[in-house]
Amino acid sequence: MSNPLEQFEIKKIIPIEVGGVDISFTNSSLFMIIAVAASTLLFLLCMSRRRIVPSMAQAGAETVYDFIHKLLKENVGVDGLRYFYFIFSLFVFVAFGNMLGLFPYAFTFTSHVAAVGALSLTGLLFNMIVGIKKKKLAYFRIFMPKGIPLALAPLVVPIEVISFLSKPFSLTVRLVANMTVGHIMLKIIAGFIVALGAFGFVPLVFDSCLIAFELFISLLQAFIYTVLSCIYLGDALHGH
Amino acid sequence: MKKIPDDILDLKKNIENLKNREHLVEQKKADNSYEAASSLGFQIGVEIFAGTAVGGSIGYFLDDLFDIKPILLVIFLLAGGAAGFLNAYRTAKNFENGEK
Repeated sequence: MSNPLEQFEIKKIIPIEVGGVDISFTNSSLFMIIAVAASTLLFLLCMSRRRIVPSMAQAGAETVYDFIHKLLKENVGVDGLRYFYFIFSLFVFVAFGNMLGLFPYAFTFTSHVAAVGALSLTGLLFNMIVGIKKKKLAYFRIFMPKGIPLALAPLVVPIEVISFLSKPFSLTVRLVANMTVGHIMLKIIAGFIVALGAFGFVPLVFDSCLIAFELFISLLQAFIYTVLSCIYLGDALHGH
Repeated sequence: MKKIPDDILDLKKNIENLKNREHLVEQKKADNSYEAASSLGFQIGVEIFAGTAVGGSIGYFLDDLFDIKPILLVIFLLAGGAAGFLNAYRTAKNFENGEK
């Protein structure tokens, strides 16, 4: 049986090194570019012939738009709609990354802590900038909730700071764990198809069910990632 | 007795069909709540783990910085655990508010 972890290996396609820092173009970067290109092309294609009564494709694209629009309105409020572009791109990028990974021989960049972690940290920075821009220095009150006596500050402030910093980490771990586990399971069960010979159809049926389930999981995880990003954005805008 | 017209009979059948389907959808909703609960459970586990891990790593790096191993590691590990539980509590509360 081939190694189920082999699929997560990062391979250099174009080695680049600037000042001792390795910034090679890898299979991970390739699939990120494919995700961006594919999503842009798909949405452009769906919206190429705009009509008041939408065609099937246009209705599909509009459903995704409406869905994120509603999500943002419910979780952040009307003033959060200004950041629609960010949340929408986040959702589409993660969803395409998850789904592209389900194709045979494809690489799942959302199964790497480095890639998703960088995305989550960007989200955190974005939230901080938005929050500081809106509330100036009062933004830092999120580390010291109202109604807490000053004597407790040395205890509460570190806890709140760690709780704040652990948000992108938990976002990352959740998405990465789900994607990694799903892909390992698919590969191990696929290995049994050949190993079991004549009875190979049993894991084959199981694997086909799993693929459908994984498709659902990949969309669900993209959704959860987006919802939590919305909630954090709402926290940054409105505070506790 | 006057015969009931066909289209009204059809309508009756249609209504019954829809009622059956409604019943099925409600059953599905119960399944969905199970799914939501299990995803919440996973989320809370991740939340507690993330708090502790972030607290621990902050303590570890600060220890390295000030060269006073392992005092800050212990303190930040405890604070991280507390932060993890705080996040888990907030997640659960958000979930409850969403249910209502």
